[in-house]
Amino acid sequence: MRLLKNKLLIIFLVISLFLTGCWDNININRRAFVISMGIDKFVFDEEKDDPKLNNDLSRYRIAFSIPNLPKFVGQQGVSDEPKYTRVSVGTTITNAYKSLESRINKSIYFGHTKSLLFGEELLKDKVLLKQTMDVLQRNSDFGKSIPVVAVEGSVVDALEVLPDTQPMVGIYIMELFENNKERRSFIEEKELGNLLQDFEENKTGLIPRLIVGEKDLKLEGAAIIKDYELQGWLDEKYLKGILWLLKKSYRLEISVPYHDYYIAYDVSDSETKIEFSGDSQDLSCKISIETEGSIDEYILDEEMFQAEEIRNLEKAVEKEIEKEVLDSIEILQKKYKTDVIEIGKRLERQKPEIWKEIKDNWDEVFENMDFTVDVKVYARRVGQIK
Amino acid sequence: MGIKDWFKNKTERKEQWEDAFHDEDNKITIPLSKKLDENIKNLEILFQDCGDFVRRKFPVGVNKEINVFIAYIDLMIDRRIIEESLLEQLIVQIRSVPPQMDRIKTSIYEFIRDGGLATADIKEVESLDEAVLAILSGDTILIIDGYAKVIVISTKGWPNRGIQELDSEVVIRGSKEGFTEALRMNTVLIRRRIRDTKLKVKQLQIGTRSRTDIAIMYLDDIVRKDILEDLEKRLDSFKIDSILDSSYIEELIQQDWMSPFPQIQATQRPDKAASAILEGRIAIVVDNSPFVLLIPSTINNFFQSSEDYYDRWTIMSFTRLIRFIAAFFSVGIPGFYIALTDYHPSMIPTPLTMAIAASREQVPFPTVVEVVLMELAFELLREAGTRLPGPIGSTIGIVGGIIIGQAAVEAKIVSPVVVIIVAVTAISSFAIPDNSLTVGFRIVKYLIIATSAILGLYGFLLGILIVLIHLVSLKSFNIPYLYPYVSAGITGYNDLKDSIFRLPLFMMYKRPVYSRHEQRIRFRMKKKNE
Amino acid sequence: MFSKNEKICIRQLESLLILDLYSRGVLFLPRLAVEAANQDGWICLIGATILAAFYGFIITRLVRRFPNDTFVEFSAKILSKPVGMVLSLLFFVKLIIFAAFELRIFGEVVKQILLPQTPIEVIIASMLLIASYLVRKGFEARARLGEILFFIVFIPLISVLIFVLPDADFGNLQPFLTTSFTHFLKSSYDLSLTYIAIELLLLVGPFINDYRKLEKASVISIFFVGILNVISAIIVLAVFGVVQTKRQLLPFMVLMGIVEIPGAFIERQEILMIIFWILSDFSFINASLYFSSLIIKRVSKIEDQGFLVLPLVPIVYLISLFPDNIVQTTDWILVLRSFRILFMFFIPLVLLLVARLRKLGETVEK
Repeated sequence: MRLLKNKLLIIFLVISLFLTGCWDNININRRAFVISMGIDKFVFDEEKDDPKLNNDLSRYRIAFSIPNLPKFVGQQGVSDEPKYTRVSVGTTITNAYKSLESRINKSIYFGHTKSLLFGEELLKDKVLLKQTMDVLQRNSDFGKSIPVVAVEGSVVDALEVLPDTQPMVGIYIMELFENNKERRSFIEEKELGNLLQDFEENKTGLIPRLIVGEKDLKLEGAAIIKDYELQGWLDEKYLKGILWLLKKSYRLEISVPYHDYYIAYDVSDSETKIEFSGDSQDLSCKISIETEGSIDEYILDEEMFQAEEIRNLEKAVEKEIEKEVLDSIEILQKKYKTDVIEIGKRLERQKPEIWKEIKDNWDEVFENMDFTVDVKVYARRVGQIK
Repeated sequence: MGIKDWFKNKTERKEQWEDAFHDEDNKITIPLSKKLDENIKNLEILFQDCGDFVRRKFPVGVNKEINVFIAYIDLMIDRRIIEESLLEQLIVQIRSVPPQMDRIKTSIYEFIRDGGLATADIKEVESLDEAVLAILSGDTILIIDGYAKVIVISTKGWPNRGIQELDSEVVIRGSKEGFTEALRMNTVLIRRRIRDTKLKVKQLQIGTRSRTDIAIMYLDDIVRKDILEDLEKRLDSFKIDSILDSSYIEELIQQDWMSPFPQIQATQRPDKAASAILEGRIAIVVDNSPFVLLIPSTINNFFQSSEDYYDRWTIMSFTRLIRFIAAFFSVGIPGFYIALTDYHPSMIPTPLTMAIAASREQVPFPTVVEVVLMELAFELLREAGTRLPGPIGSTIGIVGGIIIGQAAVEAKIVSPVVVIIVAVTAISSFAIPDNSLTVGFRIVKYLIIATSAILGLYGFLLGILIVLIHLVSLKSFNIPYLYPYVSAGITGYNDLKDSIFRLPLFMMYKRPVYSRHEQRIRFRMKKKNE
Repeated sequence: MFSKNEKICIRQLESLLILDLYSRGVLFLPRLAVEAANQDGWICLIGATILAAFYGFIITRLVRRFPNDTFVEFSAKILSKPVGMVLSLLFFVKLIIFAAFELRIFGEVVKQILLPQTPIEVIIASMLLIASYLVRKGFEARARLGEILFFIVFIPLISVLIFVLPDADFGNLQPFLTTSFTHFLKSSYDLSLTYIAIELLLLVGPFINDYRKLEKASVISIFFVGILNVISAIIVLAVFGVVQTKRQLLPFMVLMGIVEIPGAFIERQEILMIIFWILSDFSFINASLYFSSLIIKRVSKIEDQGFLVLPLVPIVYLISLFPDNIVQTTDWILVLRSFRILFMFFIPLVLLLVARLRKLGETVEK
């Protein structure tokens, strides 16, 4: 019995050691959930900024969007606004959000961050962008499936927009991305993990562009990043061509000129094959696209339901797709000189010997490469009427 | 020397079982004498101040020459038997037989014993202790002058409850009989279900003052002899003054007294006891207790209910699965909730996180305190509900739960989510068929709450590991407690057929691990030409 | 299982072995394999498995000759008592040090991901205490817990691998076979060292029910784990590609975060998945503690093993706090890596040959 009593005493002592503190225990209502975070480079604005901030230490301007919880959930709360936006200036990203902790009465938490916004100035600054990417990867608080968008303008403005349907910008963007996944829109969606992968493997990346409106936000086009520097903004029509090549075209619709009107072709499935021929001096690439889809819009008093007519329609669509793809490739080659379509990766896999020779000046080779596109379109379905 | 002795005095337990008449086992040491009057005097001393001790001395024989003495305890006997079969025979009938005194005189004892008593159950005893025990058990004793032997006539007839419908362990389909407090009635209920001579009923007496009858029932050719021996050894290993309920026996023979988990199953249903015996287990029936003990018991037994075998196997397999999930919920949910909301809210879907955070805005307590508070309040309600009689009890339970919970939420003492969590935990604990296992879970739940509160998800995991380690090392009579989920290889994974799911009857053709190795097959479809 | 003689059956040994081997593998191995040979890493894993099976074969052959002896006893028999004692103590020291460093890495990762503010001492101490609790309960309890943990750990891991297939781009495995043969051999050798749990077979002799089946069981386990490792490496590589796999400290965990389980409501499920890593690491640390205390018990002939664990706990704790940070710990582990092969291969081989020469121990009955 004595031994038992001793054992119990020891156990008790050990346990009380553990009870000295629940170190990580933060009550859930003491957390400030950052729903979206906008990272931008600090550019001194004479009218609005404090002159004290105009020094070398201010490198980042970061905006945090935090919901007003009771209002968000539908209860009565202290204030009526659905969200708060706080902006913080700092030397490093960590510095920026840690200094925020002395301004907000809750503890900053990134576990529910729903989207990241990159400002235009940030994208133009190579060093800052690299550092940002590093922080986002190193810190385990950020999930790898967070959508990333690029803002043409200031992130603070973007985050302060109050869309009608969903006050939180972050969630709005995330839902836009979900639309995309469900094949209803066409942007190149980028999640944090994918973006990091792109940057590391190819040194290039494509980030969807967010356009800020009065009461809503729109995702259109993309930002082209090469070697951690913004090269330019790609318009939507060129983006479509790229999507064909990235094998992510199953949600596209194409307006094809036909006679004197336009018809709509909706893609349901497509396959893209890329083949290379030639040697390291004279490389050319053949892209074969095969797609299935349906004709969604025609014209009322004509009849579509004959094999020949369908074939004509198909040919028209083929031509249009070819044009789209070639236009996009040309813009990538000539204007931006960036291989965002992963041609290099394909070449590495298919012809590793050639890749070994030319990989060091791949940019030049890409610029001068010869591309041919061969499209085959099958219109399988025509809708309800003839 | 002095200090040592003093120390010894303080720490040793003084045993005082003995006095003038009784030895250390509370057995009477006075021998029977041939003289009736001496025996009567001894009995009077022993039963001094016992107002319910009834005795009668009367002469038998045509010439009233032999003195005979009967004694019993009032109302423990069936008076009719005494009056019709005993006294009538002795007094009336024998008197009408003309005596041949010589022959009869020499063996009046045998005459009375063999011819004078018209009852079916007669025993001879030769010690006063057994005679007194018989009186105290409801039998009548008959002492004949001149012989140091006592005839014990079975006349048991005390008032008892009779076989009633059960209030716990209820099934919808299946027998509704339940065990009562009378040992013999309980053994009969089991006998009716197993009409086999190999069903043995070994009787012992345990308890120096209560002398409680204990019957060990098993099937001789199926049971494992090593378990039987182990059981007998354990029953022999202690000396206690009384056994008031089978749970005393349960506590004294179980292997690990510190564990919150029950290692012996207790049931009120005869069909459950019978099915256990048929599997090779041993049933211990204790007098004055409607709960029959079944050994050995593994954790699987606590999840089984008789209904599992009477209803269709598909729905019952599903129900079993739900029971397991319920068991896990009743242990883990409060801890998991604390771990998630306090340490890793990123794992909860965003709308829910916002809702929880918003609803906790004005609550003053940290999450742990909330959860523990509500759990304790629930335990209080449960206890109060048990004490209150009948319908009032259940009403208070519902009323208390709903109204108090609602009021607490409105007063911002707790957040609504916690009320839901606690309610789910409680309901899950009710889904487990056997109540004794629930008690184990209720205690373990607090351990997991504590570890989760200190170390979050890591602590939750450590808590579960502690519980698992404990469970894994428990053994019930040498069979691993978590069988058949571990070590199922012993019987070639046969027992898994009756664990999480219940396979159809024809697939469970082998007996489980409790039975002897060669006696396994219990079912076979008949071949065509049989 | 029925008697109190602490013997376990072969099935349980298999589960224990698989659990111990896979736990080391699953989180680090894809990264190690890709670091060694880029996209051909998975082929090197096949080579590593074959090598490991060979080591296992030698060890089990050796153990089979001495059915009721652990390494302590039969090394004394084969190579004379002092040498045996030295070897056993060396084994003991090695087990302790590796356990301590592994514990440190474990603590760092848990602190990083789950509990940033909690002092690492608490994390390590709590794990040690619970592992030692299990040691006190005996080998049978270990085996039974292993059986349960086997299911808890494996079923989700395998289902994650299946669910992640839609995201896999098998093109990432191209180009094939760009590594040279010698490099392939060296990488296979390096990777085979991760099958370190095999050396614990040296100590497991007296606990096995049917030691004749030991060889087959261990080889089967090794191959099973090997196949799982190869598949995991292929899938991780397919999802992440060469560069990312190399950069992530724990690629498998990030994999779990990406997986989209239809209908699952828990976000950020990689945190949930760390549970499985905790469980498998627990198994490994427990094994090290158990076997090191077993060595001491056998060397010193003290009966109560549970008592012996108690002083080991503070020793391991202090050693684990020795390195400055996780980088240093990994460095030191690499340095000590060469010692691994000693006990996995050389010493058993030497012992086996000497035993054969001196005709010691029971030979195989035909």
